[in-house]
Amino acid sequence: MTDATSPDLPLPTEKPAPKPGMPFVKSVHVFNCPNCGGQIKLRALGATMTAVCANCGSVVDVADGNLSIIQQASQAIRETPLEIGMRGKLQNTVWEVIGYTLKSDKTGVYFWEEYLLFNPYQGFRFLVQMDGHWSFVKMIKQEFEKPSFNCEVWLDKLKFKPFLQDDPTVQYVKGEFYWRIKKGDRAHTEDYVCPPYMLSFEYTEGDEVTSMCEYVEPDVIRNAFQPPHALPWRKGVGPNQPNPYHLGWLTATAAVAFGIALFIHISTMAASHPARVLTINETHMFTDRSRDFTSDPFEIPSKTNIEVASYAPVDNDWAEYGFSLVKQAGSGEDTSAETHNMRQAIEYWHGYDSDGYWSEGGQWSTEYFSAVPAGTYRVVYDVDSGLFDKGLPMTMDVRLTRGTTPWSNFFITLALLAIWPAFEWMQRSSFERTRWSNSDFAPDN
Amino acid sequence: MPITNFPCPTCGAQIPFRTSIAAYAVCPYCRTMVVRQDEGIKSIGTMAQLPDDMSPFQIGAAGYYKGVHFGIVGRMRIGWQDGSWNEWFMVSDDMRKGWLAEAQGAYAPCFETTGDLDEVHKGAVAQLAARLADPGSAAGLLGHSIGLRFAKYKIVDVKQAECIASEGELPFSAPQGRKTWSLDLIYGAGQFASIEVGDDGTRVFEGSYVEWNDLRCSNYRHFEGW
Repeated sequence: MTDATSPDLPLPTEKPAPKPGMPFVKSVHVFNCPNCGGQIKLRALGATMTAVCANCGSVVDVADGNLSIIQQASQAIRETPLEIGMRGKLQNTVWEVIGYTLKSDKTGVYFWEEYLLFNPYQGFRFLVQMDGHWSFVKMIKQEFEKPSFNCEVWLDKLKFKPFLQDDPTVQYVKGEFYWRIKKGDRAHTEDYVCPPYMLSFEYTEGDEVTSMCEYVEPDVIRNAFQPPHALPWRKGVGPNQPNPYHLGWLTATAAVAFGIALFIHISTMAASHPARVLTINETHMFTDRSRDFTSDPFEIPSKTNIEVASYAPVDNDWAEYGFSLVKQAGSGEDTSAETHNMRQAIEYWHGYDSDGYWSEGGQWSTEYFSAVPAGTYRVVYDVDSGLFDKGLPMTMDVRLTRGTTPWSNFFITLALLAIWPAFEWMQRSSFERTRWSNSDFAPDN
Repeated sequence: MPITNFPCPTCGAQIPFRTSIAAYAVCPYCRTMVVRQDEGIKSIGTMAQLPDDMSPFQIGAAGYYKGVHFGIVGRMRIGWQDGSWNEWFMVSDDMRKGWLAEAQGAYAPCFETTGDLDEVHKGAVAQLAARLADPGSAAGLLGHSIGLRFAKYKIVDVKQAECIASEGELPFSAPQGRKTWSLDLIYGAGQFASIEVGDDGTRVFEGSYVEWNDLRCSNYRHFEGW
């Protein structure tokens, strides 16, 4: 601040806050309960409207100096997992528990706790606990068109899905509150989730409050407040509990599996040396039906697979090839004779019907002789085709290649490697199903 | 220019005027309300005792709002049917008058924009004020929208407010029992406006909700154990 801009404003300039010797202001104010005369401690004087006597349980209006009793002592003081006056550090701020509310849903079957937290500088927050799941809650000053409860709500690029609407009732109160509260108070709430967040709208007479709830692990609460007793055991899945089977992690493991399978495939391809061992390109006629043809011999130098890539020029017709891979006795390391058989059907049909164009099959077929030992081989083959029925000739085109790397191997590897991500995926889905089983809505099901 | 001090017409103690913007002040010793006139000050009554509270602010505290330094010079404690809040009168280094509203731990600094509104918006505000002449129609204003300088705000709160007590320097006389209609409006994410309708006219303020840390306060109050 300079004198030039504001000559008559010798306002305090920035200084390290607490001056030595600066008086501290009392932070707890005490008054006597109008019912039992016991001491009621106020920790948020000025903001607090309602206080509950810790001795007799009377609900007292402290908004003005009159201290009128809103509700006579009606129930015994209960112990709660976190007690009034406990302090804990959450999100870098120390909070003091000053109020406690036990609420139930409209059916009176489900109960949860709401703790009011206070810090004289940061204001108020809430901790909500249900079935051992905790959320840290902050009211937000955000303008919303009142959403209709079956639509998603967008906030800060997060998509919140409708989860539950309810008409909760206050069942028990202790401590102090900055609004008028008593046992039996009702509200209407609508919750939307986008784990770890939950957006909560609360409607009471003439008032609406929007809150952002963030999931907090029970350990964090335990470490922050260090309560003397164990916190409630965590049951089921919380509405805004983050899914531990993280989608990013899943995608990563699946991507790694894909990468490994691809690497194995490419390195196998690089290590193998494919070589053509036989080409059959011959025109046959119906007279060749049920005849066997024999190829020239060829060498397989070491154990390998043999790819049989066949073509038949069929159009709305069929062809069938039979192959026997016959090893000559005395050849190779293992000198026994050996025969491998394969039949290949090639069919190609297409046309138009009421739905338009359709087609089925094709003119190509690729299959493999796998684990063929070294040796000298011939191929004995036969051919048949629908073309022969029409008296037409057909050219068969077959290429035999050794040492290829079939893509089926890649897919088998991939399938094996995908078992773990698939398992994770199922766990993830199961977690989500449990979450949404508690919802009014079960999207994606 | 340093603080201008005037002797209190009742007790003789020095009443500091930190800013030339304020015309009214309350003697910090005997709570005599004074109004500043040409050459001196004149007593206009006695102010009620301010109830104690846990507000972190005090007269003499300072902070920043949108990069502009401001100082707190006065306060009104406002009550309504269901509670109370603080309106801290602040003056920024660029000599604008503002109020830091402090309610239930939420902070909303705002500056008066009444004079900056164009005729259309002024008309709308006047219409709104006219509707409040009938207290029965006040609740019906909730949820309505009104255009102010830059945006269309939604009315989220309509309260009949009454000054409980005030302290320090103020731009107008705020005796105990001073009644106004107080409307809170929001727009988008945390944009805040307030319309105050009183016997002495209608005022419009625009600002936003901020967090304590954003204010970068100095000379604030310190509490035992905190």
